[in-house]
Amino acid sequence: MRILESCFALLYIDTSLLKMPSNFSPHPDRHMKTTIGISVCILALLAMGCSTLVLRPVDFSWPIEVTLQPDGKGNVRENRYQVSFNVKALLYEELKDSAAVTKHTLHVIRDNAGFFFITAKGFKNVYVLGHGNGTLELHKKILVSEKGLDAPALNQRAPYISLINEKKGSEAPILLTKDGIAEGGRK
Amino acid sequence: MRTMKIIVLLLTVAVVSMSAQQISDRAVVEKFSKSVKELYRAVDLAKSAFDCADIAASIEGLKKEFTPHKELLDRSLYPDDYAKSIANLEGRLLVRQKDLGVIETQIARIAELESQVRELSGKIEALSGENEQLLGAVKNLQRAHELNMEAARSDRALVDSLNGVIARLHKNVKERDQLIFALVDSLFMQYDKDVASMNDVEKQRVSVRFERRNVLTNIKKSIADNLKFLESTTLSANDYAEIERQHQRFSSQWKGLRPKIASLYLGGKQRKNDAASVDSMLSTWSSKVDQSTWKALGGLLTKGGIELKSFASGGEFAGSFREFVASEISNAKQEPGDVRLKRYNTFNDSVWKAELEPTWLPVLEQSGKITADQKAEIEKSFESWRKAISPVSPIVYVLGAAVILVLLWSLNRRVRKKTPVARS
Repeated sequence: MRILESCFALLYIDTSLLKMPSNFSPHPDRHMKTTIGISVCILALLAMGCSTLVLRPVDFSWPIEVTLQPDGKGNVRENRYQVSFNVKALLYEELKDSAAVTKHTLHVIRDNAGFFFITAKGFKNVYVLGHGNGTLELHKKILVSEKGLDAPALNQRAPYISLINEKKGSEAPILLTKDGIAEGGRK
Repeated sequence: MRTMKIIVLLLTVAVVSMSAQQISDRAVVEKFSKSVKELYRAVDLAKSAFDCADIAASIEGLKKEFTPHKELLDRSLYPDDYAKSIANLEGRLLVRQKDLGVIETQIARIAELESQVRELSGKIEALSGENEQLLGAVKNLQRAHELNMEAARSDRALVDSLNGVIARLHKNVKERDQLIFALVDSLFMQYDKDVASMNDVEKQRVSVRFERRNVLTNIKKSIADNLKFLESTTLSANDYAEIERQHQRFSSQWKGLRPKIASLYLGGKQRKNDAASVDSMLSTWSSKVDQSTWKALGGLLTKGGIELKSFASGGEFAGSFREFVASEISNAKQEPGDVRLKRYNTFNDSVWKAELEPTWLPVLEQSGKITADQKAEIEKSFESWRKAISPVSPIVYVLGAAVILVLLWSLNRRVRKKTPVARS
């Protein structure tokens, strides 16, 4: 649509040149200047026509984590934000077993940029997933515990996601970004 | 240096454990939502002014607890925010009050007392937690003291730190005792009448409140803390006097409360047993104060270099002291004079003059552990010991010599006077 608009503008300029008065005496320099001016205008209009509309700032973050229980098929649904996805592949990736999917309660939170941070009790990793084309794609798998998490909870602490152990409140939280553990590790 | 390290380590552990508790935001929001739902249910079930006042106080408590999380709750609650959730709840309560025909001033008074109860209850809980930590700290410091005995004797920092913790613990234990009975008073004041004139429904309401505030459990915990405190450390005579007073105050307050409790829990066997166990704990406390006092006094005397026969009452103490003095005077062990003199001097300087006469004896008399007669007997025994053991003063020798000289001089004069008469 924008490209079409630019083409119409070009046609309009050309037509106006054709309609110049009869006493108009073409001067080579003047003609050159006019040509350059018109070209610049055309290029600018074309550039405007090709640019993408960007809205910013956007905040995709969820204020608190949600805990989701997969159904028998591995589907989870979050009602407030209207998101649903299948976690069988994620459970297989972490546990090498996706048979008993319903027994795992997933802790999910979304950061400012829209990345999903997912983990669960017994997980060694926090999974960071980003939007794909109708999919959620793994952006980063962050190793947070060699033994497996005891009672994980994710808190929104912009610009980080804070991972805490609910059973050991005095333990220092792990600050995460979409690319891994934040510099300084435990804070 | 090593002691300083231990103290720093203990303090660090205490600070870390008391602060920076990480909690899940979801847990906070869920707790708030659950509390609000429960309060809605309570509003719907409210049947009297007391119920409404109770709920009003609960809403106040809810606000106090969750105001620090307002920002989180505003972001997380949906569709209402924090303020709207509270306003809706209060609105529902108001409607219920009107339905029940409850007068606002009545509610205000009961709610005020109920919030007082809550505040006291919160303070009691906080003090209980702090006391646990302080008791732990006392144990740790004492362990450090024992491990490092030689150095610790001269280490003022460790001793001061231990004394500081003990003083704070003592203050907390005392404050907690007072708060429990203040809480009980506030609970009864809401009814403006004596338990005896309450009907069964009112009695049941009070007993429910008692249960909710864990009154009997708190009373038992308070006595247990006092016992632990006594066991944890050796105190001075004044401390024992204070603990004795505290025990007497507690006992008399419990005596006032006990018949009310019996009347409230007419059919409750469990609670009657609890009341009986408070009685028994109070008697244990009393005998423990006694034992600790006599034990500490025995320790003080041993420190002063004298060993008495073991004693556990004022009479026994006076008797043992009298026996000891008698044995010293008669020199039953056949010891050289200088050994006995040295023992007397050590006792006199470090125990009698420093602590026993000015502090312990008056305190023991005031608290009724010894009678005035027994005190006088102890003082008399000491005086006779002093007389028996003290060397004769040079003045006495000089005076004796002077008397002899005077006698000789007067005899001489008499002989001289008599001689010329005989000649004539």
